[in-house]
Amino acid sequence: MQTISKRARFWLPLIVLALVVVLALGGCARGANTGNTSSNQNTSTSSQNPTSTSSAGGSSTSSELQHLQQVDQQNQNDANNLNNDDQNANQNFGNDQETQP
Amino acid sequence: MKNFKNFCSRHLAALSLALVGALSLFGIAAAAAPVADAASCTTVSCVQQFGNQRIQERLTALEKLKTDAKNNKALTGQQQDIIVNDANSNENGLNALKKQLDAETAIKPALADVKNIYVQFRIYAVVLPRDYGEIELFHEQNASQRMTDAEVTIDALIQKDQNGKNIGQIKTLDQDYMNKLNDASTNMKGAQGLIPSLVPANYPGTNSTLKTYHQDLKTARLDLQGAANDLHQMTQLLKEDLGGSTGSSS
Repeated sequence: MQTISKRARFWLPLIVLALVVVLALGGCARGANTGNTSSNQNTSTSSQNPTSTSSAGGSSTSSELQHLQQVDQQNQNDANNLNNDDQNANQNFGNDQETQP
Repeated sequence: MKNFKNFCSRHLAALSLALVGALSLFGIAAAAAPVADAASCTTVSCVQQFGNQRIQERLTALEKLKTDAKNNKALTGQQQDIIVNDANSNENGLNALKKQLDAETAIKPALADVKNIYVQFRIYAVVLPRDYGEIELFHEQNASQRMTDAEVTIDALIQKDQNGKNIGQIKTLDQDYMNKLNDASTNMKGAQGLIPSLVPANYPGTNSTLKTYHQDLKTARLDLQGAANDLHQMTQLLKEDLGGSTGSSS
């Protein structure tokens, strides 16, 4: 019984130490991750596109609709001008019959 | 009886006199007609004056073509230049012919110069209908390009509107839109292909070519206007389906 308690006395601090080491390593790893995140934030200035894409995902729809409206407006403005061009192309330009002086 | 004879002879005399008068008048008119049909100019300066008037009329029409091309905002600068350069080329040719005509001293070469106003240039019969048609063609090509480019945006919006209440109608309109743009493209290519044959040397065959040319341009124009109408409806329906959600997200 005494030998068992002696063994326990020997292993217990080692187990505690091992746990402390594991926890400490785990904490370092988390700390390292946090560090990485902060460095990501630095690059995020240049990679704001994904963020803006998601918010622009909404505004992208509105800008697409706006673009379509602009094309529609141009088409409407164009309709009369296109008819005028057609009338000009089909006008009677004059007589090109050969006439002797 | 005697009175009757006198009556008849008097009337016969009057009738024959009237007949002779009528015939002589007809003869004068008949004799005068060929004189009017034939060249009325008997001097070189008369021919030159006639030719210069015809040249000036054509130069004025070409100037108007240039102004119309330059003022057409639907055309790019490069497209305007194509029309202006062609008009300038014809103006240069006519001015050279005018110089030649002004320098003539004999009536026969002066008459040949006048004939060349028609034969070499055909400004009214060929150049102006072709070039004004080309203005319309350029305009149509630009409108077609604008609407073809918009197809990417329409597709993107259709993808986002898969659950929209108007999606079925929008898809039908989009199909019609693409069909009309394709048809317009075919007709514009047809018109473009005819341009090289629209030259004075091919006159009067150019008359039938011009009919086809104008028909192609007209069909393309109607297709483009139909496509524009489709796009207008699609824009309204897409706004109805997506416009609200877009407003809240932005």
